[in-house]
Amino acid sequence: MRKLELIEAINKRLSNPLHPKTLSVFLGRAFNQILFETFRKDFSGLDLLTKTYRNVPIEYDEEQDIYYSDLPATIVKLPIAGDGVRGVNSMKSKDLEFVPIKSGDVLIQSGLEVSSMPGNPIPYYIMDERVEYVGSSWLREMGRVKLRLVRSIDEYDMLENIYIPSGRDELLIETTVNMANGAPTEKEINDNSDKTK
Amino acid sequence: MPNTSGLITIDKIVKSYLNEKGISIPENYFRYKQIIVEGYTDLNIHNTTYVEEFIGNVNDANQMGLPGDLINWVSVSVEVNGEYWPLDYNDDLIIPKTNACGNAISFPEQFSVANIKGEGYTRRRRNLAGQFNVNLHDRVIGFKGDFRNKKIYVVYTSSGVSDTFVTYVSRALLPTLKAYLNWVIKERDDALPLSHKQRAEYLYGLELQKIENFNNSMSAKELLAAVRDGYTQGVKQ
Repeated sequence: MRKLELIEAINKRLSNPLHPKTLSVFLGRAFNQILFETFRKDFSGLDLLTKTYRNVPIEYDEEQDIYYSDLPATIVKLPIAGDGVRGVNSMKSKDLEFVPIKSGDVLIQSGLEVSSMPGNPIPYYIMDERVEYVGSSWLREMGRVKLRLVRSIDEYDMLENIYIPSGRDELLIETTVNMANGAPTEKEINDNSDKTK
Repeated sequence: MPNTSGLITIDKIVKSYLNEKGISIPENYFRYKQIIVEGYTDLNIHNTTYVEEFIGNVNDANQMGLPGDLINWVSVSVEVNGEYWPLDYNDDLIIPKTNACGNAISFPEQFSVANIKGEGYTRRRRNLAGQFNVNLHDRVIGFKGDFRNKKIYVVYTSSGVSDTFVTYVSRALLPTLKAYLNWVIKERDDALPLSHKQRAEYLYGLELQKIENFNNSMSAKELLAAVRDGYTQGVKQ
């Protein structure tokens, strides 16, 4: 279902219809909640909700000596390493080149054998709204990567399809309606008075 | 068509475990890999007879540095006209720690490392080309006889994991190391009941026994020799 169609369907259930962009915010919150509840035991089933961003540049922060890539879109927050970044790869590779970790693991594993073994996949974590990579100066040669992201609803265009987890369609609409009911209605007269509509 | 490889990487062991568990998100990849590295090191020290080979250069002080993964040496040889001649071990040899000026002795970067595993070596004895002593604490070999700038070939038992080259593990250890990983993960999970931990430990013990049986198995020659040793010759009637 396209995002605009979903918003229209939800609006029809509201006692006071809201502006599509306002309703989109509530839809985003409801969607995040359903995403977490549906997939919390197994986050491997998010393929349909994942979008691939190609040719994302790898940049170098000289001050911190870190290679990183800016996130090209807002991602959802998931309780796993890497959050909504489900995969990083060079453009044509099909191998495990990058592995998500938690940022604290970098400190714990430094000094252990695993941190210095050659042939390791490159660890990455999400920090400061960017993907930060651990080590490997040859990242500069790689230059660009493709990122597979689970995006926030806000990143969807109005005409873009939203894939609702199976069996959760009605729950999504109901949850959004509950959140939206009670929200202030749209003001028709553009003044600062509380007494006019 | 080639058969599957007899040597595998530690990454393959991690991926094999993730595949068995049905885990497609490699969130704990490095944690699992570190556990397997420690399990493999433990196996090499206590349970297996895998050896490594190392070729190094002797420095101007007639000494050579040893690799960091060395547990103990098996044999030390010097290259002579394209052959390796074994040296004699002399634990009375003194290995100086500083040169004549009192400066610490430096070791040149070793020029090659051979990562070939074997079950044990038998070497034909040749004219002894010199003597050596080993300081395991300082990781140094000292020589009697002039071996400066010569290539020295060392066979040694290794902790197993290289931080310079990709580490290859015998395929025979694949089930053992996966069982070890499974056991350690369960052992460190405080929420799991004891029975789960004990079961995992038991399964690891079974795999360990298989490896020890594999390593200690007799060759046909050894078996026949043991059988013949048991024969007694009765008095002829």
